[in-house]
Amino acid sequence: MYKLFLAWRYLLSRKIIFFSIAGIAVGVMVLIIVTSVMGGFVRDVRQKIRGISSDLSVSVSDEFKTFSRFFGDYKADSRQLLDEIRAIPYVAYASPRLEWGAMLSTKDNRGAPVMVIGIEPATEDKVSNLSEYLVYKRSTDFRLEDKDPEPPGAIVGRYVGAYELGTGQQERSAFDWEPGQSIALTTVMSRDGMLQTQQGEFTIVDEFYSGLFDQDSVALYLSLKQAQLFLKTEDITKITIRLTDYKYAQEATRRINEILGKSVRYFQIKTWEDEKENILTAVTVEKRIQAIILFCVVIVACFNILAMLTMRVVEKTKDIGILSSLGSTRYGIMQLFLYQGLIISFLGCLFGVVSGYLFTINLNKIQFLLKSWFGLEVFPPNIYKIGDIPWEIDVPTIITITLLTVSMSIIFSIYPAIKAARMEPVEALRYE
Amino acid sequence: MSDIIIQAESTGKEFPSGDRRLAVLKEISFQIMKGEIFSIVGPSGAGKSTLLHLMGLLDKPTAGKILFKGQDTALFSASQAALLRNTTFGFVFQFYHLIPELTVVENTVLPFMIRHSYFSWMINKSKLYKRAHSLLEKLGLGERLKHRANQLSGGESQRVAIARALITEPEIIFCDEPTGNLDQATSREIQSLIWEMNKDSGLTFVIVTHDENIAKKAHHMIKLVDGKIVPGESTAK
Repeated sequence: MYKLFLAWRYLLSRKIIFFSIAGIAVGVMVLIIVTSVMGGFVRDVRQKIRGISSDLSVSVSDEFKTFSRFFGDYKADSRQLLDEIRAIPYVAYASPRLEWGAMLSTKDNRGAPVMVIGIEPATEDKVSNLSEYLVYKRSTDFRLEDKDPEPPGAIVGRYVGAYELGTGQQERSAFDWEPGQSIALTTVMSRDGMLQTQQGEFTIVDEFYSGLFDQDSVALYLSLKQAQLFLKTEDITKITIRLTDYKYAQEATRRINEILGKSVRYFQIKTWEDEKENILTAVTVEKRIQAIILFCVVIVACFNILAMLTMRVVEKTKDIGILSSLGSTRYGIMQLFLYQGLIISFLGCLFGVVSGYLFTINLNKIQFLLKSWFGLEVFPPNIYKIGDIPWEIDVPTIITITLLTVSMSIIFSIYPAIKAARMEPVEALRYE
Repeated sequence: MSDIIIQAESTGKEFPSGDRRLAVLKEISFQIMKGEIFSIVGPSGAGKSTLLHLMGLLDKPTAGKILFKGQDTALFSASQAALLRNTTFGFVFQFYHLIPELTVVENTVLPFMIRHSYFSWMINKSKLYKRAHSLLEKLGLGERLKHRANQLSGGESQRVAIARALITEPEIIFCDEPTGNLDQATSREIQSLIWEMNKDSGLTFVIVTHDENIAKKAHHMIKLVDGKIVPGESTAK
């Protein structure tokens, strides 16, 4: 019983201990704030990606895309395939797509590369939430199939034609898109061994803005019919699918593979996470790397505990002798010093978690105060394209941070604890 | 034979000193009977404290044996030795050796804190604190219970050390120069306390001192010079 009691009294007797506790608290607080903000960013990115993504997509496998992206070139009747996929019980909606790279040009001879995405307006909005990301008008058919305007309508990504500054700042598109603008699209296709140029004229009917630069800087939506006319094909390059529940993704994939039969090797079925694997992995890895780097603050604080406890062992040499004479074992002496490390880390974690939590939930208020008092903008909205700083308190992450910190503190307390336990009682009693 | 509580048989102790080994105790043999006051006298560096540490199981002899109730103490495991120090032995040191972060009463109950687990301590805490209060009052420290050890005078500190040694009702108390750091009046007070306790409760005391006047008052006395017992100068009453 004495170990915890005496450890507590020893700690209270020296004010230096508060610096050790503060060191751990600051480390834990910073870790919680940064992981929460990064968690908020990751959540926002995932939500944005999720919002514009279908649950599943079927397209020609990457290894065959060089030869052709069209379903028909792999003995797959896209209409029949679409109907069969729609008949799968787990599939709520399936929509055809025609995706093709092209160059966009305006009447004043400015150009930008785009990804032409031909969509079936009636089903597309049920598969992805496209209409939510339209700036001017949320109509279910996106006015893509309207007779008016003439030439046919196109939805352009907000940052098509934009360039990125070195700071990551995204400039508003140089084209300054507005409905009614005329654009021309040009692409080349290989037909019968010959490269053929395809051209078409379109009118901007809306602007697409998802908040994901990768999407907003290349996407150009046409109706499937118009895209097929533009590319002189009746085929498609992708089928996007919304499931009744995302948990059926595996089962639905299996059923689609069965439908594809012998052609299965030419196709790939990807979940939205597979499709956006690179960006999802990048943001998750960034969060992890930041956490690892910031954990160094905790390690530095643990070195502080090591130094403080080693000093305490020397200071308390005589007490070690007294405790031995009163019947304390070497293991008991070791525990006495381990408990001191444990108490420091526990209190440090407690203060760190509480202050980290309070700081995080008040992050935007703090940012506002910093701005109004000192004119300091922590997250300039023109750079980060965010109104409020996103944050997400993740309890398992906090538990992990706490457990790792406490474990590190115990590990760093082992050396002084063993040093104390190895002390000969007689030598300790003679120590003055 | 059954009344012998501690017996030294040709006990020796050497310490490494550079490349050589320094013999601090040589061929020491004696017996300590239950209920007696046994004193060890001698000049500084004679090996008195070393001998006390061997008897108190704080150290091990390098030659010969120390027997406690007929059992060779060299055969005790570290935890057995710690248990004996906690339950059967009491220690009083020249420099009191109190824990400065604890109060008088907390210092007194410290051996019980070491003995008990957390739950056992919580159950027995009030009873043991009462025992400590009553003991400290008997020793004239009733007004100093909540004081920190570093707020006491030398005599008060030594009385707290005696209370800490007595509280577990040990069979034997080892005193290493118990009056060595006190003025004459306080020294006399502590001596009379020891003799009183021996007389009242038959408690065995082993006292290491360089003061022959105190040593000679003991039931048995041995004199150590250069690590050896001086034959002609050991006495028994």
